[in-house]
Amino acid sequence: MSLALVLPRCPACGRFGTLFQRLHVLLRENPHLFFGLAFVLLLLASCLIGALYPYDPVLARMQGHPPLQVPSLLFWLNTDPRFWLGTDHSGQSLLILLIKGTQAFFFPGILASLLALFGGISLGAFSGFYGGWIEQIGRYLSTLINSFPNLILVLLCTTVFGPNVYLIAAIVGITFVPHIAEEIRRKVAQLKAEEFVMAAEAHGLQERRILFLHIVWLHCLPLILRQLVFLWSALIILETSLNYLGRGVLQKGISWGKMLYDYRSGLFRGEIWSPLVVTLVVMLTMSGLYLFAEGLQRWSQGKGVLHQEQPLDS
Amino acid sequence: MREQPQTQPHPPPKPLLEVEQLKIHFRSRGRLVRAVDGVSFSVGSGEGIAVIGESGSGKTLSALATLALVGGEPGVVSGAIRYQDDTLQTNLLEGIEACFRQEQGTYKPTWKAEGWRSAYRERATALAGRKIGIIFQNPISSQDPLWSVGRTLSESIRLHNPKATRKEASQEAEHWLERVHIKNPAGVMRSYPHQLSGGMCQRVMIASTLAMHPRIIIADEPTTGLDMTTKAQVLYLLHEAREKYGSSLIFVTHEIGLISGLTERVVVMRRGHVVDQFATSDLLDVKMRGETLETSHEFAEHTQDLLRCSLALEERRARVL
Ligand SMILES: Nc1ncnc2c1ncn2[C@@H]1O[C@H](COP(=O)(O)OP(=O)(O)OP(=O)(O)O)[C@@H](O)[C@H]1O
Ligand SMILES: [Mg+2]
Repeated sequence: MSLALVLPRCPACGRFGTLFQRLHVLLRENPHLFFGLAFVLLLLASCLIGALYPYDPVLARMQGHPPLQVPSLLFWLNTDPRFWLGTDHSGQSLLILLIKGTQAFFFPGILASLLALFGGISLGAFSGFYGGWIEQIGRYLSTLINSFPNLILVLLCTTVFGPNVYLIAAIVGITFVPHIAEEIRRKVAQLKAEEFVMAAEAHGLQERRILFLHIVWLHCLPLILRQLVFLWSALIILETSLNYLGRGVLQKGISWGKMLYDYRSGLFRGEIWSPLVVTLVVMLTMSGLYLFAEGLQRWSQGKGVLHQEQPLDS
Repeated sequence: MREQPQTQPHPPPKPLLEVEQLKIHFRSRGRLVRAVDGVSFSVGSGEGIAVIGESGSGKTLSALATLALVGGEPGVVSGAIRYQDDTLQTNLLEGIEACFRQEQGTYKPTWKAEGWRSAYRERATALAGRKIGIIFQNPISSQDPLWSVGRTLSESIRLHNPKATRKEASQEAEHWLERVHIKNPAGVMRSYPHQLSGGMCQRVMIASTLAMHPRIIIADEPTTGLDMTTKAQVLYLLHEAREKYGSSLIFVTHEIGLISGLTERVVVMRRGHVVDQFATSDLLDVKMRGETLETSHEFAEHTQDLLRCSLALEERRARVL
């Protein structure tokens, strides 16, 4: 039994196993995926918490203390977990701000993912499966999108249309269309020559069903997920750096980039703790997401040959 | 039809599938390959024919053309593939004459060819599975490696009977596995193709083909790579399919030893042509005496070569055993 968490159940014995067993197996077989998955779940939980509890300045502010820049050991031992990451210059808990800040990526991220998925999958699947002039058009579109420098496009748009995080998300989504399309196109072109596709056609399956259910959904899913992870990390980086640059995407509300922007002036006064924490969290998020992507890659490579056991002849 | 012998061995029943002057060409490294060059044969309802011939003679391609599965350029360029039963009558290659024009012995696609190909494919999809089922040579790679055998089977069953629920389909799938003499159907349903042996997988493929009740079964070298016992079992299944469900059979093979008992007629192909056709019973009294072939039937030259080789092989095998 291996990788039972991501494979629905063990085909050899037919059992699901307990959650603990499955996690244990996952940790052993694919630690990248294990830790990446844990990190992604943590991020999602933060988004959820942020969405469920509105920001409460009273709760977030430490009472009866002056704003604390660098928490000492004594401070860690004495106060409640809310302040374990310390506070910023105004005395707000960094932990709460960071958790609340993840929410800023959530809906833009979903918008970007949907755009990239829709464009990438349809472009990649059709040009890979049918080739010919459809592929030519797909290639042309991809080159067109790729030839625009990402950051400049975003800066241009925020200048023209005003700062809007959804606009940025849309641009990120569209810039990811060629990447997803190319990955899928390559995989589809490789798979359509396989015998099982011909056999499915010989059974009278609709072409669309073969293409989207068998080829794209079953065989390209890890690939698509991987690209989505890259998309999210690109979005987070872009949002953070844009806000830091002061091309304020968010005038109000809380986000990681906004936090960095707010702490910028303190940096020159030697108050490095809060920006350091935020930067470290961004870095950690990036590595967590890349870990997840790497795990997905390994999962997809191992998927075809898992469960190699004795032939099941009676 | 010019290569057909004058005396038909069996007066064939009304042909179910009729392939006429089929030509399939390819461009390969600038050269024109006439892979199939004017092949004609027909199968009656309930009839079994064997297609034999050396490697590369175009047997597989002719079979694939009946379901529009031939890839490559320019592909099928001329001929007719007619299917007719009580509910459906169609010529898959209808309108092909307008799509390719002849130019110095080669066929050039005209601008109509692209649209015609999708029409061809559409007509073939109506036949695929329900009317004509193909069993491929390599059973393991002809199933989706990421789907369990049970899901693949249920999919064909639901294709044949769209009203069946998921559960009904999987029950019926299990039932079909039993019918192809698999002893542990529940276990096989859950396993993936690469977990099964070749013979097991071939039985699953036969089950999924039979489950759609095709009028014609095309078996393209279904026994290659199987051991003698499994080979016999697969042949028995094909035989049973003819007996029980009255399907016609087109049995493509290299091995002349396998065709008696399974088919009534033999079509011999060579280099994209049909070079001989005769009744399977004509093979019964073929003997080798030294280097010469003794037979009452007048075979074409190429058939004699094939027979000689296969008999010599058999003799050698007999000496070894
Ligand atoms: N897409 C293609 N492009 C170019 N040539 C092709 C293509 N498909 C098949 N051919 C050629 O067509 C010829 C006939 O192939 P086919 O598979 O029908 O032979 P076969 O009689 O089934 O042989 P075997 O007994 O080895 O299976 C082969 O020589 C092959 O190289
Ligand atoms: Mg072949």
